[in-house]
Amino acid sequence: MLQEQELIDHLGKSSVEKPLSRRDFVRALTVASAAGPGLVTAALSGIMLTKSQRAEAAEVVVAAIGVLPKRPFNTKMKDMHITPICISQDWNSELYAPGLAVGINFVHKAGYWNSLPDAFKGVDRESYYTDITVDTTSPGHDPDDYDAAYNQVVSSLQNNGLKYYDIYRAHYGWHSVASYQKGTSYKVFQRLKREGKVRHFGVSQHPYHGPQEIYSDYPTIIDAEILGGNVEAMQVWFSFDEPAAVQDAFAKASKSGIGMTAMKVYSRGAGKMQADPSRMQQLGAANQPGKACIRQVLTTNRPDGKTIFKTCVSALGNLQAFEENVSGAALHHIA
Amino acid sequence: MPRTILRTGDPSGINVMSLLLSPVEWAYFAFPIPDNGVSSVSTEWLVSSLLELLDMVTDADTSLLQRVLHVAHMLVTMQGTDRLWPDEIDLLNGCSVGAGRSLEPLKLFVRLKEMLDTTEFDLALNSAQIAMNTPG
Repeated sequence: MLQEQELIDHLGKSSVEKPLSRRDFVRALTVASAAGPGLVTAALSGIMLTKSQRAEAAEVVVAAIGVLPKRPFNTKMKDMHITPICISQDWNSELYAPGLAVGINFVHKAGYWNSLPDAFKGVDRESYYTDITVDTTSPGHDPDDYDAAYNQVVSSLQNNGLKYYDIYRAHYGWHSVASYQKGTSYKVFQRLKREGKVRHFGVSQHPYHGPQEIYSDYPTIIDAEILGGNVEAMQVWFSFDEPAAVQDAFAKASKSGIGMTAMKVYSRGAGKMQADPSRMQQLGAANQPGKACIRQVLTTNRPDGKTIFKTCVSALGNLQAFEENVSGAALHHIA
Repeated sequence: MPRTILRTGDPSGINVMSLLLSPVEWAYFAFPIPDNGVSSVSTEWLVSSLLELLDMVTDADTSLLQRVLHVAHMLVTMQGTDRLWPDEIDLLNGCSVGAGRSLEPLKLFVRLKEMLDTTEFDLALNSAQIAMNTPG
């Protein structure tokens, strides 16, 4: 063990001066491979790798994690079986290939791709789901501008060639119940659905802050969207130790059949999780707040015992974050 | 206000966890702040700080890019009906400070558009362009 750590330390220092030779890289990867699932990149910590070496290390990470399970998104989205974590358009693009390799089958914000990334060329379009976040619902953007919303989707598909989006997500959600009830985004969705360009209507609902006469609070807008009946998928801010009223609203949304995705999982929860080592231990993620937060979110239950969130999105910038977050999502026992 | 916001305790690189960021309880959380407890930041300082972070992004590690994107996403929602942004923001309560207006976020959006080949900021950029071209 000590010899292995000394080797890694030595290779780390060497790699700063020049890329590791093939022989030395293989020695490092052999040590890392033996570390086990979720610990490969930690074993390589301190070693600077070339792009091709990172790709090879990613293959070891993928092999250790295995293929992620897929579960029904929820009753309103019963045709969609989704992995517990999604790829996001703003991931480090080097992580797209390992993400596909572990079976992740949803790409969040695919609508922002100006062109199809290399990792997705040749991948059967029907083998993965996508959403487009349609940006017409925030105050400065002519809220619910019908033409702007329609054109954003159409021009996006022309640019990236994805053919269609599985979910039209009104982004960033609505700042008030009144603005949601205007229904413009839904009318755009209906036209695009008839044209075969989108399949389900959803929202990426952010909380808004400001005077109550203008902005609805989070539970209020979520309740309105549940009652409205047209939202099939909802993406919301949720992590460890969120207010009970917010969790209750999301539980109700899940119970109504809406497919729930958690976002801001790391950014909202990591600090609190870091300060709770016993909770990380309980979640089987000692000293790994990212993994712990993912597991916390994916195992948060409704009052009837079923999980609220079937999937989550996480901003991943390097292979270590990929391994920590994706291995956290590899929960094969969750119903 | 001081320009440097990073605390680099880790000799092997930037320790992302050591960035001074607004607390999760604030309306705008995980924004860079110049010092503990300072909740009002100028948009100019904020954008300048974020651009500094982007200068440190590498192919191997885009974690700082993700940090910047989190803020950029929120900045998009702060664009007003005049197509401009507040020139000072209270991150604690999410309100504008004073009546000054700004176009500073455009520099950030243009940089992110180039880095990511993304259309995410196109609406905000096009909208602000209308404001710049409108007389008065």
